Amino acid sequence: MINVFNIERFATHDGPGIRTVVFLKGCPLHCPWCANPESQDPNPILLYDKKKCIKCRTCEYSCPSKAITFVDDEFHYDDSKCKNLQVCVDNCPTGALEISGKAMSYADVVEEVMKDIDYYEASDGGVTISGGEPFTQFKSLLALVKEFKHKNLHVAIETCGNFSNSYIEEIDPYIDLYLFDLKHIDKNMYREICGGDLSIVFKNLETIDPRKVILRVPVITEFNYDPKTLEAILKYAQTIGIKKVNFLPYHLLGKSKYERMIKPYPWNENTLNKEDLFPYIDIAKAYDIELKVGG
Amino acid sequence: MAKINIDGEQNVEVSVQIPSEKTPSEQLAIMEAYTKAHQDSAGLDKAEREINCLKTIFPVLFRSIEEDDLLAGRLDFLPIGFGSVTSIGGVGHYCVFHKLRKFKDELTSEEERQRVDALYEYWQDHDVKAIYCRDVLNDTTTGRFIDCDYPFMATARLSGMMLDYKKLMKYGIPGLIDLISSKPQNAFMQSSIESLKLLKVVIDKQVELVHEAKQDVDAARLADLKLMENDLLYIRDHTPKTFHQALQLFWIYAMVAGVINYGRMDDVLGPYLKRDLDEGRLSEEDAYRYVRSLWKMIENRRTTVNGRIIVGGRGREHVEAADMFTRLCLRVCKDTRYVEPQFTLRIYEETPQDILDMAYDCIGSGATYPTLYNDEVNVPAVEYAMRVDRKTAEQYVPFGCGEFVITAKSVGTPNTLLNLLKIFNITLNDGIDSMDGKRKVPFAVKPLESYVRFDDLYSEYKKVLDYYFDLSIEAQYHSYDVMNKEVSFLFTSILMDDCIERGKALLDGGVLILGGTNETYGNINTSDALYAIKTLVFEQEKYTLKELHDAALVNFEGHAKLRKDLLNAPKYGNDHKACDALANDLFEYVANGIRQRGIDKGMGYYLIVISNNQTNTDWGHKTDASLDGRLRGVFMNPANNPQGGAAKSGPTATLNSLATFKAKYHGGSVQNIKFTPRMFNEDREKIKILFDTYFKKGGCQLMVTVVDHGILEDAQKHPDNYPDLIVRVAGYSAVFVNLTKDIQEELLSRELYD
Repeated sequence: MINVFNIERFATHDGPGIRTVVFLKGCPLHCPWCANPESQDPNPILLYDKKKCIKCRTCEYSCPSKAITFVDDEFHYDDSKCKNLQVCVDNCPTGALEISGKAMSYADVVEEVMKDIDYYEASDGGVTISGGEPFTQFKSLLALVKEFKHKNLHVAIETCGNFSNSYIEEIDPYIDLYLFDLKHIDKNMYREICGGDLSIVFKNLETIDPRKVILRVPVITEFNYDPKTLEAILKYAQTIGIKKVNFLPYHLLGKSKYERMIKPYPWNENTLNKEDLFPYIDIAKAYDIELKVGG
Repeated sequence: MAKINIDGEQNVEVSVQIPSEKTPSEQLAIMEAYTKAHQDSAGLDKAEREINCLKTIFPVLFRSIEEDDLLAGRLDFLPIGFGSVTSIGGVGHYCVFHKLRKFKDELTSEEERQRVDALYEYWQDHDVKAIYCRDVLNDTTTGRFIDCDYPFMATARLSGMMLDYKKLMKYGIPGLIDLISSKPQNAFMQSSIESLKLLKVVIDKQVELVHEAKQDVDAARLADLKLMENDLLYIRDHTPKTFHQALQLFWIYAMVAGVINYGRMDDVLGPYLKRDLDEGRLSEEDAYRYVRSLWKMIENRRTTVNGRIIVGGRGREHVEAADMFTRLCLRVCKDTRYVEPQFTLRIYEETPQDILDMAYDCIGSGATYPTLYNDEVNVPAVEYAMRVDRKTAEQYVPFGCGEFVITAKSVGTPNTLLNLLKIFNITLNDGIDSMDGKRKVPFAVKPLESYVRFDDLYSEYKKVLDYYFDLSIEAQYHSYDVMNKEVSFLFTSILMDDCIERGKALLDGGVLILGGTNETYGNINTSDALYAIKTLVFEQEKYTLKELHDAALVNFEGHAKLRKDLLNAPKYGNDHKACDALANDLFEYVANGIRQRGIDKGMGYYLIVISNNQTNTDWGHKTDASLDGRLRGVFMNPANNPQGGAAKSGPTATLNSLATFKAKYHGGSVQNIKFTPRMFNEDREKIKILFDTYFKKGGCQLMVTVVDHGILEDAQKHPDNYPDLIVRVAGYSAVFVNLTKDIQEELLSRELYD
């Protein structure tokens, strides 16, 4: 079994061709701008859609563990008390409550992914495993990619690089492409904001065949959106032989998800446009790197 | 004689029609003359009566040339007259009663108003459709098109005639007269000759109108008008030689025949275009101007759901020349952004890449055209469905909202319409329509408690469906009987196989293939409801069928959780195998049930079409809440698409579901898909592969709207800012802000892929 929180078909920006992206639960990082903050917790979590809620309080009345209360007519949820997420979700008449994440069998995931096999074959596409951080469920991940390879699929994995270096040898034969996140070049900054260890990331990056890597850099205001940092990333990519880099301009897709987790959005809202990053295309050329803005 | 309602809307009309050029008094006089000719010819053969009547409206109803017209032939129609279809005028000798009443309201003199009353009185007994309605309609099962209180609607019309314009070009008017004269004569043949002579008079009238248009124009315009005059004079007495002459002849004939779908014009006009270009008689730019003028003439007819020009595909005689014409059309289509013509591209293995690219560009610009038809699926499908050989099947063309006919060879008008969802609700409700309390099944339907297995319910539903299928075939067939009794459709018959050879009018044994179509609605709501029942009642045993039905009867008020469970049950459009399989099972039952009844009746074919104009919304208003979770009065699913909001798994999933239904069982099925300009244009290569794969998987057709997030919502608030925002409704495109709010909402409910 593997913990999945979404399977998105006809994904056009996460690897070549037409793809299906399997999003896995769990992440060692906690990047504040995260587009999928509901993925960070390895377990299923409750999402609450304020727009759909009619304040009928059926969830409160039906919750056996009193995890839900309404204070000043506002929904409150104490996950430390919750023993069974399904009860309130089933009883909510409007669908305002939803569970993110479920354990799926490999066979079920593969079946879903294989529904678009004709589209992959026609477009040289395939499957991309994303998250969260897929490597947090390494054993399951390994089993799943073996299943995919057994079906002859092109397999890409999107990773933040914070995982044990020993995994690479085991999984690499089944991975065609790494969409490898490099969020910063400064170890302190990375540890402080994202909560990870950049030396592990560097080591993993340097272990993988650079021809199988597209380096992906989420370009975030007040974090790494400065010429010095971005150029340093390009330079580092060149040193380890990487030829393809994507700069992903900061967006607010994660914001509504924070709202549904009833959490404040923890980062600034100064998003970037693609145009803001176009000047780096030429800069990258000097490092013999093909830079694409956007996925 | 049953009292029936003949006064009301008779077709979908979104585009606002151009008012007649004649004064109300002139219009009244023309309608009176028509009526008198009809009365005076009562004892004559129907063909003679028809030509006598036609002479009262042709050429007088032709209107003047407009300042940028490059073709002659603008025709008004009045509330009384002759026609084939309800979109312009009416059927046969017609009176459109609600329009006649409206006309009366515009008159100021009491004397004139009384004259209108006399006409109204006369036509109540003579309007062809009214005669049909009296025979077929009743108070319970069968309603007039469009009267949505009924589960079944029936009408008499002769939609979608695609004439043999190649024959027209080959013989010309004099040649056709000679041809008909050379055959054994009867009233039909003689009246056909008279018709063609009348066409010459019509052309003479156009020459006069061109003369009038010459006043105070500049040299360039004068040159255009001179060309028009010369070519009119030429085609009057000769077969056409040039592209412009061919265009002109085709257009003027289409006018008098009252047809509003035009067919494979690339193969008809392409050779003239190519020859003129090759021999230096015509510049590419002039050719573009002529086609653009044609586009405008078609748009100005404002038929809302018709105006088909079809290009591309298998079975063309002049592929290279036809493709030249296609390229011109694609340029014009992209530049004009009109809602009509419904520009249709048949694609096949050999479609040139540049034409495909131009087509995608045109769609990507938001024109909603061309609609795409997949010959690799449709040709073999038509071969089976209509029981014709491959060569004949290659001449299939979609008309109106997407029904197929064979060019020059078949009649396929959709004169019957079934609401599968209403019928299902009636089945669940002891045979009584919960919307009006009327019994609409004349036999006892089993009580809900008696169904032990899902199949028990499904079989009972099929039994009720069978009853409605039986009504359908009789009503369809009878429409031909009634029309044939009253009229010959002379101009149509002349260019349809094998009327002239057989010396018989179209519906009198003249047409080679007497087909017909039945528009089915609510297909997907019904199969989704069946699937929800199957899982919730018979598999999970979470509810009893009676609990579900009782909740639907109160529009789910107080049953929010139950409704949520219904909505959460798997839905068609998400590539859910079991759910799609049930949808397909229902589709095949209905499609085969209708098809077999056509065969048994001795028709060439009688097929369901899963097309749609806006009847899914109109009929939805009169259909109770359903067990797919849909509320009372809400629109039903459009054509072959999922219910709005139900498809949540992306475009590949939806297209996989859409490709489930085998095309060989239906006579046309249409599917909409909506993308943002960002996805459609930036991910163009992937979109192409997406469509291509869908077509390879058996997809028969696709219609694409490209519109951005929030645009439709903003257009609802600020309609003035969006005069040319075109959307594909289903079997037709429309300027979004011209649609009524309910139709706009249905469009908004559909998934937008980004």
